Amino acid sequence: MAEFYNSIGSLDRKWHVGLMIVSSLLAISVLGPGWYSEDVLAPYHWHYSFFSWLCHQDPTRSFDFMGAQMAVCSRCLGIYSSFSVGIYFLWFIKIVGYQLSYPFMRKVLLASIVMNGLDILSNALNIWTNTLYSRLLMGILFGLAAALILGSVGTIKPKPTKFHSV
Amino acid sequence: MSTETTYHGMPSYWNSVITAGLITAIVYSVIGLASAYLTINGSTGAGQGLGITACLVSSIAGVISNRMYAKGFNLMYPIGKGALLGFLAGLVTLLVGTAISLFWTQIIDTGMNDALMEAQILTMEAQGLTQDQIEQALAFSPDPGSLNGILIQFGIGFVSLSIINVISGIISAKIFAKEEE
Repeated sequence: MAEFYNSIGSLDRKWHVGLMIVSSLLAISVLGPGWYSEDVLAPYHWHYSFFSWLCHQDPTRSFDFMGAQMAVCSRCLGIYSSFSVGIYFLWFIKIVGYQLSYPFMRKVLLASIVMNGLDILSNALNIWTNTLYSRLLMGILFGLAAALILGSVGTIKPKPTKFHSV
Repeated sequence: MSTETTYHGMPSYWNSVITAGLITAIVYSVIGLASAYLTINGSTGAGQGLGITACLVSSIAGVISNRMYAKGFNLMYPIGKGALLGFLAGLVTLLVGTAISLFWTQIIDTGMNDALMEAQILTMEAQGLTQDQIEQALAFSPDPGSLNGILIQFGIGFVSLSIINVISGIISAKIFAKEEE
């Protein structure tokens, strides 16, 4: 039973290593083909097909990397790169023996989702205009929170039941 | 009410998986089709504006399946099961999304793929590519209506949707399949 709770409370080693590998590959893939392809046809490489299911890949909302558009938009770049960094950071946290609080990380994750939602909505309604860097920052907040919550421990206390006197 | 149980005594997750896959596939297909038609009609700005909402939409299959399963049956389970639910929901999303796409392009609007191809060629010409370069670029993506094109897109979608929904499934299992004091 202790092992079962441990697998929920924190990320066990095989899942951690697997996520480190997968997140690293994703973070490198989103950079696009610019670092190895110099031709003008770089935007049509496999990177774009792969992430076409996951991102709109709008050129006006994406960074360039070494002469070619990245495979994802700036927000997604922030998400994938910070998720990978977060997974590696969890390893460091385990080594030093620190424990992240699950209730706190849940609030942080929720706040990052709300902030991203508000950012998208307010930009769509022309309340404000986001930029490549502001979307990158929003993506970083979400990706980091999503990674760190996996290594957090603790439980949520249920809301107290209200009793009415008779 | 009796529920179908698995070998390990837990309720069956297939209802949650299929529902999550269906919802995600329909949302993704609607956004994709609307964006495509806006692009074909020359409203590239509106098409891109709508397409912005498509970012990571396909990852919600893992979230929905885990939430439905965990909260629906009031269960607690390890993240491995969450990953499995996410993977299966992603697979259902891919199958249903591909079926919707084929149904639309082969029966409802048979000229859509050609129109999208023309729009893509116009975009490449506007970028200053030569005819040889345009043909090379088109060679990177196979004919969308061909069996080869469908299989390649299916294969790419299988890998990308699996990975992203396994990750979203793991995170969702951590959040929803967790005990309360």
